[in-house]
Amino acid sequence: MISRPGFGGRWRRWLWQCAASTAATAAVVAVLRPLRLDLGLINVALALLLLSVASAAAWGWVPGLYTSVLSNLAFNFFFVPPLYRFSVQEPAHVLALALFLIVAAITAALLAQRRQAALEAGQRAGDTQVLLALNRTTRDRPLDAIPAAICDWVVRDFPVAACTLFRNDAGALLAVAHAGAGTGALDAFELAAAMGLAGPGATGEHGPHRRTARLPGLLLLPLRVEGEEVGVLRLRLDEHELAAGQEALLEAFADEAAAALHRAALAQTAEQAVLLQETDRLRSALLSSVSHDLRTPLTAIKTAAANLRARDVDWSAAARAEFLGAIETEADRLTRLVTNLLDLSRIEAGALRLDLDWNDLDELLREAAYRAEQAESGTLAHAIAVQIDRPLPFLRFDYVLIDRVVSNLLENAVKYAPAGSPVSVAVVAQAADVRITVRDQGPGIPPAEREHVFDPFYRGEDRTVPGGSGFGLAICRGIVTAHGGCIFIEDSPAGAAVTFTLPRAPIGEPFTVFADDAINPSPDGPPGQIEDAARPGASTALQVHHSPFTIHPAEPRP
Amino acid sequence: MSGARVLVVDDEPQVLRLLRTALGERGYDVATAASGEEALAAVERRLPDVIVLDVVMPGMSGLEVCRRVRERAAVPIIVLSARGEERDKVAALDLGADDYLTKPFGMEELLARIRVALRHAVDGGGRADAVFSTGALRMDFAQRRIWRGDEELHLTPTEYDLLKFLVQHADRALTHGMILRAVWGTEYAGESQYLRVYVPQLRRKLEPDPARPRYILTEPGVGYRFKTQESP
Repeated sequence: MISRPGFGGRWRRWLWQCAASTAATAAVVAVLRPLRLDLGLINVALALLLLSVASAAAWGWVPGLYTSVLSNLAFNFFFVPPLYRFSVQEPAHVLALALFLIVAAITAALLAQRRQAALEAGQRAGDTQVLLALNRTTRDRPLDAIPAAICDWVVRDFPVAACTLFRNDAGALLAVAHAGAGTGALDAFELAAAMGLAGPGATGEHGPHRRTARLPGLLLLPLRVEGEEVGVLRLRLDEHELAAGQEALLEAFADEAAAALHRAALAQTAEQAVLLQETDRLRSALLSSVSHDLRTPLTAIKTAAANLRARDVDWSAAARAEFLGAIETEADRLTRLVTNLLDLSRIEAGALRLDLDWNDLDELLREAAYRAEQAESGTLAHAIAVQIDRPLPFLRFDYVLIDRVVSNLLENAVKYAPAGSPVSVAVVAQAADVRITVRDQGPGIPPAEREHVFDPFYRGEDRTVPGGSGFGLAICRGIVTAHGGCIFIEDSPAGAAVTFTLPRAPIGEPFTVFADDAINPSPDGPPGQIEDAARPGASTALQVHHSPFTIHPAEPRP
Repeated sequence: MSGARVLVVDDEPQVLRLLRTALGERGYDVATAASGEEALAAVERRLPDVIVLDVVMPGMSGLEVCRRVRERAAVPIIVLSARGEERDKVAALDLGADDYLTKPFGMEELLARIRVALRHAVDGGGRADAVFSTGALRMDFAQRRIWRGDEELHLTPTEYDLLKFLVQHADRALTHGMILRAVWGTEYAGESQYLRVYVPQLRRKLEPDPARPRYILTEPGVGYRFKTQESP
């Protein structure tokens, strides 16, 4: 993007520019020499003047001045009588030569100045671009990624072979990022020089203005934030030296990099603070929710028991039955709450142990649906339909935990949907997973709440529905995630639809896609039937062991 | 079965007191033990007809008690454990416990399980009757024939062996491992996917509604239980 050669390059450039000017002057002289008498001295002088002006405009003041002197000498030698000598006959010609030289020199100097100004303006724009781009690149990155980004930028945009960023960790320099050739290690000399920059004595002994340290082939730039050295940027230089302007740019770059690091560190701290605050908020939500939910059934139990014990009232049989019923119902509620709390804490603590085994999802769903129906009483109970298009493959999952998920989802559906409305459990087997959707005809879940319903203690805006503690879906998510699946609320025209997936290849095991005909071997036969030869010693037994889906059916009638 | 001796083992004095009252009122002769060690001592003193045993206790665990009691006596053991402790339930059943109940349990449920356990004790652990019938099902083990109502059912040999084992241990929770060992052989104890195939197959033939089984019930995370029907 930006390249500014060193002094060696500049001399080389002047040399060939002067050579080119010499050649151009020789060419002009060669062309004009035969036409000397027709043109007149004035025109020849102007042509040569034009040459020196062009040279100054194109290449700067050194080639410009050189061309002025050279063309002046050539004019004197080849055109001003006496020819082929540097002496001058007429006093008027002396004046003309002097004026020629002065005009050429002044023009060359002016043009060169303008050219330099334009170049510098371009350079400044380029530098600003570099700093702005660095700023842009580092703005939204996490703190960890910034050192590497800085090193990559330096290596790409400056003529350096390698760049390493060291962090000042309580006086010790730790390499945190490296780009380019070689390694990020510091040798003893470099360390001493770097410590001079980053160490505590750096500002005291050498004053705050000390910017860089040089070693042969190396440049060490301090990374300074608010007067404090937070690290060092070490550049291993190419064979050619850095230009003065480039070193200044690198220093500015280092400042910008330090500021970027500082900014990212601040952002990280702020983020952690927000996280802590969030955890705190959740914890107090837990406390208030749990204490309320625990107290309610306890109060009911206590009241009922105390009433039953009271000697001053002779309770009717109906009243006694009501008290006893309340005790039992509330105890059940308490049990559910405690179980959920324990499950949730187990999930949150990452202590969920999966008891994975090959299981029949079909059976699980039908039993859960059956239980959910049984749990309801009365003629207005929901009809729960299990829709499975075709036989499902066996899946490896924890039967008890997935049963919890399905039961929780069904409980929710039954709780929120109007009495008597249908609830469905639909299963779709896909290549990589199986999707289970529980759908009801209830009020549904507004799109804005869909993200939050899986958070612990979230109970939705409508709190008119009794019971529930807001754990159910959080537990579902914990269990499904532990199985490597996901759970989400589907878009649904009416009612709520919660879908979760179970991967066909369980976590930690190689993934295999089973061909459809292996999963569903025959349209009317049960899934993956094993022929009766699968007894000890029979050959199919081994196949069953490795993959229970790939067994082809053979139903021998006895 | 009134007058039968029940030993209740739990480290919670409240539970012991309640069960002593509830079972005692129903005519059982109740002894209690507050720890595994006490339980073994009580068994040593006087062999109960059935033991109700909490799995999770400080000191000697219920599983250890189960194992030690089994070394000496065939007394039926019903273990109590909390939901989510399915491993403990399976371990207890595999160690020789006869049944399990999930805490908190209903009193009716416990009484029913005690009755079944006592009946098994009388049967001698497994039914060896040549003919067995429950609900609409009728099995003739001598002829290896099975009927549902008037219709004869055709089972594959493995299905037949599986059903026979379930029926011989009717009303007891059987772990996957127990069934697999008995029907397929010891080396197949871990192949629970066999059961995932055969049990639904068997249900399709036996059950009036295979999706809502009445005979072969799933014990989630534990195994299966063949449930005898009250009366046809």
